[in-house]
Amino acid sequence: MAPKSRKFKDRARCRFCREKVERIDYKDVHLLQKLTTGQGKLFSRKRSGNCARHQRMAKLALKRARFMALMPYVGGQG
Amino acid sequence: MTLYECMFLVEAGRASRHWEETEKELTGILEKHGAEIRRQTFYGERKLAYPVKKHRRGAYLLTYFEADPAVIEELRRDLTLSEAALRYLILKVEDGVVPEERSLGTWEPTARPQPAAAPETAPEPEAKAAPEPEAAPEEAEAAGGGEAEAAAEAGPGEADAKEEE
Ligand SMILES: [Zn+2]
Repeated sequence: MAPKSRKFKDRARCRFCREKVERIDYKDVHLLQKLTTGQGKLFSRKRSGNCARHQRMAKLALKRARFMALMPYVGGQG
Repeated sequence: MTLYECMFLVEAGRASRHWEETEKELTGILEKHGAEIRRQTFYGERKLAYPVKKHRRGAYLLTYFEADPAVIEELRRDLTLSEAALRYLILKVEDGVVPEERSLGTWEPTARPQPAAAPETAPEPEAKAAPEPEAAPEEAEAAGGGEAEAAAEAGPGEADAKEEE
């Protein structure tokens, strides 16, 4: 049995925290697509593991991308 | 002076046929309010995620400019009145630095549409390789700060067309 040296908060569950992301750009459509379902809906924090702060940033970026027609609004056909 | 970025969405037909005038009009509005353009990058036509005023395709112009925050409100009003752009979004650049020109994921900067032997307008070939003057980086803004949202002229809930690419 390997000793579980569980350091506290060793690895953040949030990918953006791990990568020390300070802002999420609405123009990064590629990234936003990875953060959303096929319906264009943001994955829940539970699903994505994002922390609250980064989830907020993602939400704002998505909102802007939608406004600029770079991302669909939820409930697009199909 | 504060550094802003502004993205313009221009309907594809207009972009391909009347790019010069369109860019001139948009840039003119910025300059009218004393904005100093730092860099402009054209991102060629793509399918919109949903139709905007019946248009399904559009091109984008990303503009970095410095301006007095006090003029932004009026600037918005003028941009909203102008027909040149379907939509625009002005945001404060938080760290005050004009970023390098880059591709956005799979979305590449492209050359501007050439006036195809346009009869009406004298074609001034726009060989704009953006001189890229170093923007005097003002003090980094505290995050959060007054981010400027575009006047939500949001489209009337048109939502179809799934994501592309
Ligand atoms: Zn995080």
